[in-house]
Amino acid sequence: MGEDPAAGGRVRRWLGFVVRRRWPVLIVMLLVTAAAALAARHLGVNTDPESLLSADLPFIADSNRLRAEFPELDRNLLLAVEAPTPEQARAAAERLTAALAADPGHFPAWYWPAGEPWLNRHGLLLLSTARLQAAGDAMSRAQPLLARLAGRPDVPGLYGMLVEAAEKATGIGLELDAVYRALSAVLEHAADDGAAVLSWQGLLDAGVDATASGVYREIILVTPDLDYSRVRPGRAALEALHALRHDLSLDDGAVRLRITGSVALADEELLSALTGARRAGLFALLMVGALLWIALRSPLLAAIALISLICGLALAAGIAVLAVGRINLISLAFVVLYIGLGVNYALHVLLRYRERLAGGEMRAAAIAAAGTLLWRPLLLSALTTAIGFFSFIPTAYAGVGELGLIAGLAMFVALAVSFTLTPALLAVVPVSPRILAAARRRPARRWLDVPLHHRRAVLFMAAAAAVAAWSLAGDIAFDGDPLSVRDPQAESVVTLRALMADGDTAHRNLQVLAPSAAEARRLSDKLAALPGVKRVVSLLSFVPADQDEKLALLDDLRWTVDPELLAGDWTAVPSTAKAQQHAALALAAALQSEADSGPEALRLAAALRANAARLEGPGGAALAERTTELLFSALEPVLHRLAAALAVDRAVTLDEARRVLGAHWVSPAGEWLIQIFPETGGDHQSLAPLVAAVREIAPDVTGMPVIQVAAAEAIGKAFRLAMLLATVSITVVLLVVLRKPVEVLHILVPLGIGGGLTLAFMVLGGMAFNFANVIALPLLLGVAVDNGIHLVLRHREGDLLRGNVLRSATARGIVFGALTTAAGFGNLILSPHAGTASLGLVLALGLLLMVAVTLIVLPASLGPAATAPADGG
Amino acid sequence: MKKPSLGDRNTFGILPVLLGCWWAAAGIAAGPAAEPPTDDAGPAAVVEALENGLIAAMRAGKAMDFTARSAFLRPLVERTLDIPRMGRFIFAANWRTFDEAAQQDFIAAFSRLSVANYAKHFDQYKGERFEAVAVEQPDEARARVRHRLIKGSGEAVAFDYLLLNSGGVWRIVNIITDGVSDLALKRSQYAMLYNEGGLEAVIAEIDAQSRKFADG
Repeated sequence: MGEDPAAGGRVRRWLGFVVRRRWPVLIVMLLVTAAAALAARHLGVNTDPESLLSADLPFIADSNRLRAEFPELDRNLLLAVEAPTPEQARAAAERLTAALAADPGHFPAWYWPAGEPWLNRHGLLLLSTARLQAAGDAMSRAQPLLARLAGRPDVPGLYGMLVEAAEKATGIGLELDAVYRALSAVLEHAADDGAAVLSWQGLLDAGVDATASGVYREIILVTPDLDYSRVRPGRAALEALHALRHDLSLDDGAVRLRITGSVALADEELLSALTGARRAGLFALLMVGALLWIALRSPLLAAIALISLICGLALAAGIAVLAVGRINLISLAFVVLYIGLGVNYALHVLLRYRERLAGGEMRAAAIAAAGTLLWRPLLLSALTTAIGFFSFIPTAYAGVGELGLIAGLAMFVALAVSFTLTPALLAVVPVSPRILAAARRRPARRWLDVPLHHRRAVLFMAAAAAVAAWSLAGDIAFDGDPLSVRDPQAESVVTLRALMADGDTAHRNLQVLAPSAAEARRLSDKLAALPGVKRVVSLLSFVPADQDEKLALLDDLRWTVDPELLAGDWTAVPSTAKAQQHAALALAAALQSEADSGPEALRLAAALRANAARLEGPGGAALAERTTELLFSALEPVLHRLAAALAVDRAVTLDEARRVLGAHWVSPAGEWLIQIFPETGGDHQSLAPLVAAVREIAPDVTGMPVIQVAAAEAIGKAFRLAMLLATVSITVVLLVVLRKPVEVLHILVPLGIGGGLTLAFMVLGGMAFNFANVIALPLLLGVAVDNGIHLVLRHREGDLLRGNVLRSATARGIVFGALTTAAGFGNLILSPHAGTASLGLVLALGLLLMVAVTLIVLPASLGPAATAPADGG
Repeated sequence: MKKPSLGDRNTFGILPVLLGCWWAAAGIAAGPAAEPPTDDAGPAAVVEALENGLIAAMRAGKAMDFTARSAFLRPLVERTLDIPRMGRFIFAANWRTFDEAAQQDFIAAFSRLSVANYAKHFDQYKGERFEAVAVEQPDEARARVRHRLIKGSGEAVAFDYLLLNSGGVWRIVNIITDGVSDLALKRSQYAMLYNEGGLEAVIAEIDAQSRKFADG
């Protein structure tokens, strides 16, 4: 660009106008800012993580197709009812679904797969032949016990039977240690709130398995009412659900409801991101304000910088509404980015203004001189920073493209504010003597001369650092799991991880759509044969195999276990505290009398004696009632369900299954859903071979692992493209502006070293790139290049103390600018949203490294500049 | 090794214990010969034929020794109980994996055991009588005959007979005594033996039990 007197003249004339018409300028700026702030209130937030990627990507299109065909898999709440026994989980799920049904406004649809009566009735038929045979054996074992209990289901009767079993070995058909253990567990906590009931299902081995973590779960899928006119569309439904949970006493305790699902995840992610942005924004403003005060050594000038910052932020937000309408969770970070970056322009103007004042100029002249000298470097800065931001726009990572657009435009807003509001404010406040005093203080900081005096050493060390850093940088990993960017403490994330650990959710499943039943069968058979597939489920899975054989087995069982007995009245008969106490002591004595009493028998004896002692006390009657309830409340529902399942004597047809379950497995358009459960619950990388194998059979397979694998690829590609675009365009701009390729190299090399160091530190610290922080490097390139530009241009300008550019107001501006920017970015680390926090960390770390390398290496590589006349050499 | 449940130790379940309690101590005079039911007998008639035979065996008391009582009861047991069907119900899925010879081996052993059990326990009379309560026949193939045994003391024990009509002939396939199913007892007991030692182990146990009854 060289010298451009015409442009310089226009800027000087403009600043003269601003100073003269300062009040009208201030009023106009105030009005525009207010209008922008009002408009910004309409900024929507899009929290769908998949929408961060371009909808044109084939794997996103596949996913959208599935979501359109099966909306219940799309925007849902996943309710996990957890309990120590299957009966309690079931009973709580029944209460919960009744409550959900009573509030169709918030919960228009819900689905409790395990509660489906048809499935329960066919529960035995749906077992494998071997499992059904084993269940029949177990039922036969328990039949005599049930027959004896049937006459009088009460506590003394149960204890009496166990006495007989212990003493005379009459055989109650159950594994006694298991009975002792279960009974001990109930009695030991009988007096506590939320005590577990005796699980007859567990004792009868009626085909229910606990999860790996030992809890029993019922899963309910809810399609909540979503209000997209609000920032948090799921908020009303979630709040209704939380209230419902509280009313049903499922908040915590032995039986509790945990909530996750895409709606809960999105809402909590948004909440955490908003909380994070608000908190980080506030802290950033405070820290930036403090740094400004230190840098400018004048509350007045610091206030001017802050006012410029806030006005610029409001204007930028208003522009964001016009440019994109809805921001996403990544572009929310723009607020904090702006606080860190936007103040720099005003800071440079103010520092230079103060420098000119100190040099003896009058106020108006100092304002004009500062602006005239700075417009070129600042415009260049805005341009390069914007390039860094804009570099993601052409990539498939649409979510960041949006942030890039907003933040890039915002840089020009910040520049414009620095040449309107900032000079207008300077023109209205008086010049205080403190400003001058501060500017004239020039401490002799000899260490600032080190890079100039030891140029070779500095350059050698920089080269060594570059080699070391870049050799490590290649090991950086990408974590494509959207869960990784969310608040790890959020209930929805904690619950989802717990469900995944127990294989209780389809979250890691692959999904395939088939156009017909025949095609679904063909694909299912091929998919089920793949290594790494645990099971394949479609509507076809609900038509059991070998039905004739299984129906015959059920017939055998009907003759054997007497369903009439199971279907009878199993209401527990109350017994007095005295009767229970007597029976408990008798059983305890019997358990201890055997020479070879095992630990479980002795534990039960102790529990019985403690129970008997409490039965004697004042609360004895209540405890007797409670013990009866705990021991028998689970009995009737279990036996009645078993009786109903035993009664099935007709084969299930596909038509019947489709009539009952079709809504969940065949879309209205006739697409058959095939769910593939992978064997490993590992991350997307471990599932990549399975995804590839499934894709061979079904090219349009979708599901979280597919999206993660493909998203990681797409984002990796986007990152490389953005990096390339940013580097090339910034280089071109630098070449055009500076016209000296060597100077361009002086600027870019330190950035390369700083960037390599950033990656190296991430590798060493075990950090990976994720959906959020991957944007940091291209962005940092655009931000940090400014410092090099400022230093080179100031170096060219000459008139420097000891010829050292580090002793200039420019270097001071760079240091404080970098500190304020890093402080702004760094506050993102406080965000509970893990992605935002990691973005903040990488940005702050990267910026400090790039600036530090620039400040050390650039003066050394440039060498001494022309000295200031006052310096005398 | 799996900790054994009490089912292992009690080889014959609750039914014989109950039956044994009420009949073992009774001493009766010899009665009429056992009359097997005709093939066209209804469910109730089949049950009554068995019960009459058992009462007769009890009334005979010491007049018959174990061998004679067995010979007296064998045709009755074979004509009132559908032992092949009981074998199928007891072994369920496993039954269909046995070949013809193996099935016949089991049927023969189980038949011997049933006869020995009755011969051992129905050898004294103390004034017992059976009383009809109801006959339920939900469809053409199945029936439930509800009887009660009234003991000399007046105490009643519910006896429910499950009958299956196979080829027009009614046969008993299960007896439920005060709610306890004989087939369930057998299935759980034999399933454990079968899972450990196969059909041979089951038949060996059945034969041992039969010998024990014979030896008195």
